[in-house]
Amino acid sequence: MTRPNDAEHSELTALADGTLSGRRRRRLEERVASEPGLRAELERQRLAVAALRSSELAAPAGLRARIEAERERARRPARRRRLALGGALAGVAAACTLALLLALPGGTGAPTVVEASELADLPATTAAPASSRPARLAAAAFGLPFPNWADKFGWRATGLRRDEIDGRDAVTVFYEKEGRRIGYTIVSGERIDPPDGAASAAREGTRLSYLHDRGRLVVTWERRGFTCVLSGKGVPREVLLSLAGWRARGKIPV
Amino acid sequence: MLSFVSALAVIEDTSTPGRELDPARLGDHVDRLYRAAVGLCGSHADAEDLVQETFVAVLRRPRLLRADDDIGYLLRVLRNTFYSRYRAERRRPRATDLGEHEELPEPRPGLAPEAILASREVLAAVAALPEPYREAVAAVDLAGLSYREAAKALDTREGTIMSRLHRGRAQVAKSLGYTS
Repeated sequence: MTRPNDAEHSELTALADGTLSGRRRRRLEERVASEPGLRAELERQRLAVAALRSSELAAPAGLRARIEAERERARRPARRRRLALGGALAGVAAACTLALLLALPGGTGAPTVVEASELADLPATTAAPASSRPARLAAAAFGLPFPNWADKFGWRATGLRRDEIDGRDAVTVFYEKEGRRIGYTIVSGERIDPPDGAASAAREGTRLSYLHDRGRLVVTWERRGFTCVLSGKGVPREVLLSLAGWRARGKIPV
Repeated sequence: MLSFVSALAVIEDTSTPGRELDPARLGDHVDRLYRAAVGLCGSHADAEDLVQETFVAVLRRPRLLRADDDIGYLLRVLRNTFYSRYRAERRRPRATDLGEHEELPEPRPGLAPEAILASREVLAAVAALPEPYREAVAAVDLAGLSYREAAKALDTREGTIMSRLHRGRAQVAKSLGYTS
């Protein structure tokens, strides 16, 4: 018996999954019938194919919901542009077009978690807060201290900014590590609900919600009734979740 | 006159007349992409993130495809996203990520426990494969692409796909204890 070469192995795998046909199939089947070693190898290939293709794994419902939310988000800007074009072409008054745009979902009301996360893309306006004690920075928003992640996680605070979004105060501290930047924003006022379809996780007893928005991972949770939002690009999910959930053995109040 | 939206379309292939990728149909491919992503990442949580990032990238602008190949195109984007994100972080899929400490997706209703366990073992076996074999198995056996579609998605020849499939399947069989 001659050992099969690469091309014959390729044909064997095609025979195993049913894609080999015609004369090549018949020739290989004849050879398999007369060579026990080849027959055994074909059987292993068939068993592997059957196992691989019988996987019942389906995408989780939460993932499907988030994809649907992405599709809806992608449709909205196109609708706004079409309305704007239609208004211009038909000669409709600018005020009327503006009213139509404002009537579309997402244009009014309290800030959303995603809008708060966009502050992480802006530059800092003041210097980095120092560390006031282990685990905490000398910066706080609405009585909540920002964590000092430098020693434990290597994320160093590099700046701070204050904003007002939709009538709410928001304080953002920026952290950097190995060329990557994340923003931690605390927003005043009533808790802002996470968007529909956001996934859930729990770290150190804190319930977190997270989602992706235009290449950024956004994590949100509540501290003493205030909304916290942590986001960044190119940062692994588990890193942000671990940072968000870190309590430093009670030194970071929730 | 081209509409404003069409003017932003991204043309992915120039060999034949194109058609716009229909966002409404993308949901048809979520399960297949997810299985391929689990095979590539070796982690359900990372696979979810990877699939979501893939759809975000695809939905960012209208896409014109030249070939009737939605799933092949999606797998190419999935693979490119995987390499630009996960490979950059030097993460190799860990077979132990599957089923031990992470939140697992709900199984299909009515699925027997043995089937759930078998599924995890199979995907763990795929996650443990060397990269070229893992990609070929994920594309053909998990995402359901033909050899030709897989070759195009993975930017290689059909013969190379078949060779990698043979080796990948042999290793999966060995991991699952199939000896004969």
